[in-house]
Order: sequence, then C-alpha cells, then structure tokens
Amino acid sequence: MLLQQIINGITIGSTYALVAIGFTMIFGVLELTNFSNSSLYMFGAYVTWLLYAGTGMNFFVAFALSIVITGVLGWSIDRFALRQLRKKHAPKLSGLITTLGMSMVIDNAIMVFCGTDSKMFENFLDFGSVHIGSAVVTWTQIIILIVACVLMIALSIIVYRTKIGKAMTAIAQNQDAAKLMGIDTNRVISLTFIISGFLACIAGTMVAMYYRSIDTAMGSSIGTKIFASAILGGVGILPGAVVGGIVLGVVETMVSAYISSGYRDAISFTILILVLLVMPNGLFGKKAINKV
Amino acid sequence: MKAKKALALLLALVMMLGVLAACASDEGTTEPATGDTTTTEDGSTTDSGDTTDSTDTSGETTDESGIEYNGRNKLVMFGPLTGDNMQYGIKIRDGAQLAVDQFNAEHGTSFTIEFQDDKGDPNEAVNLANMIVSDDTVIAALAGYGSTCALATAQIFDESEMILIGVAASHADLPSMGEYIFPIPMSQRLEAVEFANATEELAGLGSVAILYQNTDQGVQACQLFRDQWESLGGEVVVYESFVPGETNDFASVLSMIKNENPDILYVNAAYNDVAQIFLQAKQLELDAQYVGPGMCVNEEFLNLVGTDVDGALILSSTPCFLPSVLESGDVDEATQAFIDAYQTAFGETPDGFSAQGYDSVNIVLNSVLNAGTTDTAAVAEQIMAIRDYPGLSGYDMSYNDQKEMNKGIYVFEVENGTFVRVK
Amino acid sequence: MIEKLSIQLVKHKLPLMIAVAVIALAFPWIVTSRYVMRIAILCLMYCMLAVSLNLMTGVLGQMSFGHAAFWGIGAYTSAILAKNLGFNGIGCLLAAAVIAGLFGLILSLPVMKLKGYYFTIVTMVFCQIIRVIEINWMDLTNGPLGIMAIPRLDLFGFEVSSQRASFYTILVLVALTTWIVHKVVHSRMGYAIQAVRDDDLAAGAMGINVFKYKVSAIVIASMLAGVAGGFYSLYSSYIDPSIFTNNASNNMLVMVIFGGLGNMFGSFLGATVLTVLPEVLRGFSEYRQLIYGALLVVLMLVRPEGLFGSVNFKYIGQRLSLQKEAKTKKGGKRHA
Repeated sequence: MLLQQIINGITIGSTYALVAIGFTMIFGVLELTNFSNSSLYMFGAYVTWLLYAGTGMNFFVAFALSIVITGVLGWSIDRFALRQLRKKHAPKLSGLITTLGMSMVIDNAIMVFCGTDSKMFENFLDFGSVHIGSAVVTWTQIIILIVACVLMIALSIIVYRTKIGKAMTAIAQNQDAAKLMGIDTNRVISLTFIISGFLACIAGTMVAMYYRSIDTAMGSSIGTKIFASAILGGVGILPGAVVGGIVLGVVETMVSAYISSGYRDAISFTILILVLLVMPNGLFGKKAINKV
Repeated sequence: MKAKKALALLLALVMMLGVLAACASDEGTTEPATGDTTTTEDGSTTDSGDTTDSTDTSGETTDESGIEYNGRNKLVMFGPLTGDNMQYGIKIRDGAQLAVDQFNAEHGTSFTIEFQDDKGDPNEAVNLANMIVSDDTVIAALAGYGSTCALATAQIFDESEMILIGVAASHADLPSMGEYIFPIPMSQRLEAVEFANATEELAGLGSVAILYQNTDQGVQACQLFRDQWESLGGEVVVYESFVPGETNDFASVLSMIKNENPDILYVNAAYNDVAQIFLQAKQLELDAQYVGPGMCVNEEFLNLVGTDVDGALILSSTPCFLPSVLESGDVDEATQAFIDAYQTAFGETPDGFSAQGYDSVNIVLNSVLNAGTTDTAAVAEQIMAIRDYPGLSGYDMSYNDQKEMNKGIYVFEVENGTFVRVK
Repeated sequence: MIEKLSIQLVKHKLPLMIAVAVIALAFPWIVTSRYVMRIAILCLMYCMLAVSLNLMTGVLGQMSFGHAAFWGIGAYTSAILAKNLGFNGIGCLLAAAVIAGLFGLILSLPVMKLKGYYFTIVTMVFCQIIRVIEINWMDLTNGPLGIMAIPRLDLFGFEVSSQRASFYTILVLVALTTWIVHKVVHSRMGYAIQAVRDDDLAAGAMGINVFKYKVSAIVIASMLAGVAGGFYSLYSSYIDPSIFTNNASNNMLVMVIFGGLGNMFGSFLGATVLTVLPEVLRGFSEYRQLIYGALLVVLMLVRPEGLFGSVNFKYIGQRLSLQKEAKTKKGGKRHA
C-alpha cells in the first residue's frame, strides 16, 4: 500500500507541478503573485473541451488551438492591464489586485457561458495501466509526470541558457537597468505571459483528461496548492516548482492515508510552514542577500 | 491630529450613508404593490385603502379564487444563481417559475414569484432574508440549494412570522428551527434509516466503508447511516471525510479503503465527486458494491462515469427524470405533463431540484387556497396538515409530528450507463 | 481630482465632521429597512477589519492573505463562549480579541525568518489551516453544520437584539478601532513600525527592536479582527466555516488596497464601497461577479495606488496651516 500511496502522491503532485511552473516563471520575472494563473488553467481546459466537443474537430487540433488561445489571453492580461500599470510605475500590489480582478472576470465568464456543472472530458491518453506488485499505475499518470518534467527541462533551457532567458533574468533583477541595456522589456514580459498561458492550458487539459471531467471550480481549488508548491521549491526557480509540487502531493497523500483525510490540508500546510522555518527560501532557493 | 482621525472616520461614514441612502431609495421603488409600507403590517381583516388604488391587479383583496390577499401575493426564492452551485439554483428557479405560472392559469389567481441570488453564501442569504421580511407583499420565501442558507435565515423568517420553505434543505434540525419553517426534501434522519435498510436488503449486511463530503448534509447523513447500519448488526470499517471543492483526487483514501477490503463502498457527496470516487476506485481495482446518494440521479453523472461503474446502486428520495429512464419505466401522467411543460418552457429536462422547486410552490399555494387567506399562520397550519401529498419530487409526502418530511425512497442501479429502478 | 477633494476635505473638516456625526447617529432612525440596516452594519464591521488589516499591510508593510482567519477565530471564540457557557457579555468580545491575538502571535513568529512573499503565502496557508480545523473539529466548532442560535450580545444587562442597538454597538467598536490604530500609528511604536516597513535593516541598525514591533503590530491587527468576528457571530446568530474563507481574506485585502495602503480614510471608503457594490450590482444577476471583477481592474488601471494611497492628510493639513500662517503674516505686515 505504501508504494501505491507514493504513486498517488506523485501523480497529484505532478498536476500541481504543471501549473506551478507557469506561476513561478511569472513570479521570477515580475515578482508578481499572479492570481489569474489558476483561471487560465481552467480556461484552457474549457476551451479545449469547447473546441473538440462543441465543434467535433480532432482532439489534438483542438488542443493545439486551445494552447494558442490561452496564450493570447495570457498575453492580453499583460498587454491591456499590467503593462499600463508598469507604465505608471504603479506599486506591485496593484498588479496583484488586477490579476485578482482578471481572475474573477475569467472565472465568471466561463460560468455564465458554460454553466457550473461538471463536464465530461474524454481521456485521449487512456492506454491502460501497469501493475507494480500490488500497486496500479495508469499510463495517463505516467504521461502527466513525463510532460511536467519535459516542460520543466525545456523551460529551464529557455530561461537559463538562451538570450531571451538572460533578458528575463535581467528584468527580474532590475527592470530599469535592463531597459537601459537595450532589452525590450515589454516584449520579454509579454513572452513570459504567453508561455505561462501555454503552460496553464497544457496543465488544464492534461488534468482534465486524467480526471475525465472539468468544472469551473477546478482552478480555485488548486490555487493555494500552486502558491504552496512554488514557495516550497523556492519562488522563481523552475525545477523548484516541480519538486515542490511533487513533495506537496506526496505529503498530502501520506497525511490523508495514514493520519486523516479531513485534516489533510491543515497538516500538510503546517509541515510546509515548518519546512520554511528551517529553509526560509524554500528547498532550492538561494540565500537572499540583504542589501544595506 | 485627533481631529484628523475623527475626520477620517466621519467622512467615511458620510460616504457610506450616501450610498446606502441610494440603496434604500432603490428598494423603495421596487415594491409598488402595497403602496405605503407602514399601513399593511397586519390588516388581515381590514380592507386597507392603499391596496385598492394600486395599479397592479395583484393588489386586489380577492379575485375569482376567493382568496383574501391583503396585499400579499408574492413568493421569493433565494438561492445560488451565480457561483459554484448555480446549476442547482437555476433548476429550482425554473421549476418554481413553472409552478407559479401553471397555478395561476389553473386557479385564476395572480401570484408572482421573485428570484434573488445568494451565491450559496449564508452571509448573503441573511442580507436577502432581511430584505425579504421587510417586504409586506411576501407570503413565503423559498431557500434554494442546500441547508446552510436555510438554517442561517430560519430565525429571521420565524421571528417575522413569514413562511420559509427549505426547497432542498434536508438537514434534520431545520424543522425544529421555528413554526414557520418547512423542509421539502425528506428529512435526513428518516432518509438515512431507509437508505441503510435498503442497502442491507440489496447488498447484504457486510462491512461498509463510508466516504463522505464534509458538509452539513454529508456529516449528518453519514452519521445517521452509520448508526442505523451498526444497529442492524453491520460493521463500519472505514469512516472518512473530505472537504468538497478542494480536491479531485481521492486515490489516497481509496487505496486505504482497498486495504481494508470492505464489502460495500458507501459514498455521500455531490454527483461530480461521487463520479470521481467511483472511477478512481475502479482504477485502483477496488472490488466492492458501490453505493451512491440521490444527488447522482442526473444526466451529468451518467456522462461522467459512462459504463465504467455498472452495478453501482444509487439511493434517492427523489425520482429520476431522465428521458432514457422514463421510457423504460412506467411514468405517471402528472410527471409526464411536468416534463413536457418544463421542456417547452426552458428547453431542458427537469431534474430532482426542478421538481422540488415545483413542489415547494405548489405546497404553499395550495395551502393558501385551502386556507382562503394569505395570513401566514393559517397557511402554515395548512402546510403542516399535508399528508400523502402526491408530489413530483417524491411520493407519499407527509409531515410527521416533528414537522419532518417523510416520503418513499427509490433505488436505482447503474446498468449500461443508465439508471434502472430496482426498488 | 482626488488631491483637490482631499484638500477640500481637510479645509472643511469641522463642519464635515459634525455633519457626519449627526448623520451617523441619526441613521438608524432615518432608515427603517432591515436590509439596509444589515448592509450598514456589515459595512461598519468590514471597516473595522479593513482598518486593522491596514495596520498590518499598510503601516507595517506585511501583506496578508489570511485576515479572515482572525475574524473567524474571533467569531468562533465568542460563539462557543456564548452558546456553551452562556457567557455573552462584553467579556466575550475581549476573549475573542485575546484568542485571535494569540493566534496572531503564533503567525507572527515566522515573520523574522521569512521575508516578503514567503510570509504572504504563509498567511494564505494559515487561513486555510484554520478553516480546515473549523470544518473538522466537530466537538468544538460543530464542523460544517455551523453554530446556530448564538445568544445576542449582552451589554451590562441590555440585550443587543435590535438592528438599531447592533448599529450603535458596531459604531462604537469602529470608533474604538480607529482610535486605537490612530494612537498606535502616531506613537513611538508607530514610527518604529513605519521605519521597519521602509527598511528593516536600517531600522535595526538604529537600535529599533524590529522583531518586537513587527510582532506587536500583527498581534494588535489580529486582536481587532477578532473583536470584529466576535461581534459578527453574536450579531448574526449563525456562523459556519464557509464564511471565513481565503476569498473573504482576499476581499479584505482588496478593500485596503482599493482605498490606499496606509490610509485609514481610504480603508473606510474601500470597505464601504466594496460591501455596497455587490448589493448594487444585484440587478445584473449572473453577470454580477463578472462586472465586479472588471470594475476592480478598471479602478486599478485608473488609480493604481488606490483611491487615497498617495494622499497624506497630515501633510495637507500642515501645508494648509503653513499657508494660513504665511497669509496672516503677510496680512499683519500690511497692517503694520
């Protein structure tokens, strides 16, 4: 049973990881707690569903289209709201409230348009399951984990190895200085939002296939988990988000299996706080240097 | 400095009062039927002048039905018309609207119904309750989805001697909250006993694992189910809860249940969670008799589970309105008429919630008709006297001495991706 | 525009103050609708919550997504005391403050270790933990069934049961809160807290005990929220865990930021507008939440620092009095 529980934990953790990557990336560049991230995740899943179930087009075409649409939505959140705030040199908090408002708009638009009842979502990755001893693993679970890892590696390469990634790091450290160095900050930030939209859509659709259903609360229900995963791994650090998500998932599963399923979140979050007390910058965070 | 502090406080108050005053005047304009609100406080015997010069015919003291209106002709339903539970609120709303229209057409009455959104939030429901009891044209309020909002507002309505119908509030404590409070669904206390008995009858008296949602409904229903199961001599091997809306993943708790190897898996949760639990249990190859609650008797549940959970039993105190099920079974004329009318009006199939909304309105309005007056005490007396009422949301609907709703139950089996009634 | 308005506000403070005081005292006699009274009372309660959160977020600079936790702790404390022990006097509110303050103390302990966003997420997670406990600890909180029929507040033998009495009670509580927060902000402690907000390293180097001041600001803020909770449960006579959610916390933070960080008047305004707005939008039925979200975005775009975030009443007052002084001096010269 222990093995089965670990597998369960890794699966749920990799769903957190998928969404947390996009969140942590924006955080890394803009130091912005992006509340609309979980809404984009829900939005992406709904758009995929609308496209393939509503128009009857091929699922993978629908998926690709949906990724683009969600990317565009992510871009427009930045273009039409956050960029205006940057122009005014607004305090960071106003960006946060703006994303909160955006998230309400997106959530409620979907609710009004699609209704709040759960929708059936076909699993196109259903290739059966594998037995390891007495434990059962489905291929969907394995694929989700692989996708999370692949995305993490791909993004890590982009952020840590390419020119555009260096620009992102530069903006993260000092926006004005980056601008002076000739970096088109708006373009780089837009790109970050587009990528986070892509990621949210991929995550939403994968998770929808795994649970075979979507509902409008799917975003808000994992909101806190995403934040928790990201800080557990160290905000702004991509591999940290994945490991943080998986660790959180495994801890949660263990708590609910061996202690209490009702108190699950309370206990796993308490553990999170305790870990942070020992490692104040998360599992992978570098020690911040206090500037005097 | 002190002055500035005080200034800050006082200015804020000015702003607030200004906005509220605007609110108040808005509200004033929305209740034209009674005219001067101060004179209609009692007036059950006096033919007060201000109702007759109202332009709205509903203000007339009597019409062809012979009911004494005394300025009261309105029902108000409050429920989640936005937010996470809006699908239930909307079904109730449509059912209630249909009932009012049909009742008026049949009896020549002029009742109206108004709908308010509480987002399923008890705090907002209390706001609305205060708004509703200030309105002298209201006979009864209908509390939509769930027990929480009905419980939160019960005291307000009872103090104001206004009837509150808990359209979908099955909480066992609701009936005792006041003389004017009436639940429509079967009381959980009675329901749980019937459910445990039915499970024993159909699945045998084995060991049971109970997994329930941590809501007022889930907690109470499962406690009562467990008590009855144990008093029948059965064994409860797992008794676990989860917080709905916070997770989709039940694999860990199901793995644990699998380890205990129960004969029966009894789940009490909303249909989407039940579907998830059953599917994930199948995935983990958990071999037991699956038993689910009445919330699952709808099309969406079948869509979610497909044919994967064939053999699962669903216990319900409301009937099934799915076309596929109705075609196979015998359906009475009243139900068929209701379904047809509902489809014509809203282009959708009704469900248990629509039927509860429909029954709620009819129970109130029939009682008004029987009482011959809209005086709430007289109407409440009539409602209390209901025995073996042939409702659409259940058969043999009766209030017992504790004002609990009692009715017969239904058991469905999931077979080839549809429901088949087995009891 | 806001700046001009602010100057006018400061200029005419005395007549305005008197007008507001009269209106506030007369309000429950002018308005008879129970509904409007309820909204007014909730407005005042949210003012209390927003002002206390502003102490933590605006003055100390510690953003919190968990203020509803303290509100809930206060509400449950007084509900349990009143319901189970029949203890529903003024002491009930004090107990709510003490218990909420204790939890505030617990939450504030990581504050030295965790910086900025890490602490913010911890407050969010803290709110969730408290809610899970409220839902699951059946024996104490009655879980999701909530606590029903909570006795009303008993003020020295007088039962606060009417809307009018509740209105005056919360009005007094709001005034007290404002007075306390004002006192704190304009004390030695307040200046120390603001120094810590602006640069905690420098403040530490100046000999300010950073830890002590951070913790005490958080504890005071949580105690005030606890009192608001205590009032809420005795006023509404029914509470359940679905009220004290992360969403409620977010709402409070929105109120504070909307009004302007660090500005108490702004917090009043934010609390009032954002409590009344959803009620005004009721007519839009299912589009209500959507419009609310959109308005929030638009307001942030128009005034990113919040309505009164960039306004310093104290500064305006000083400037005005200086101008006055200069004028009188000039005038004096002319006479001479």
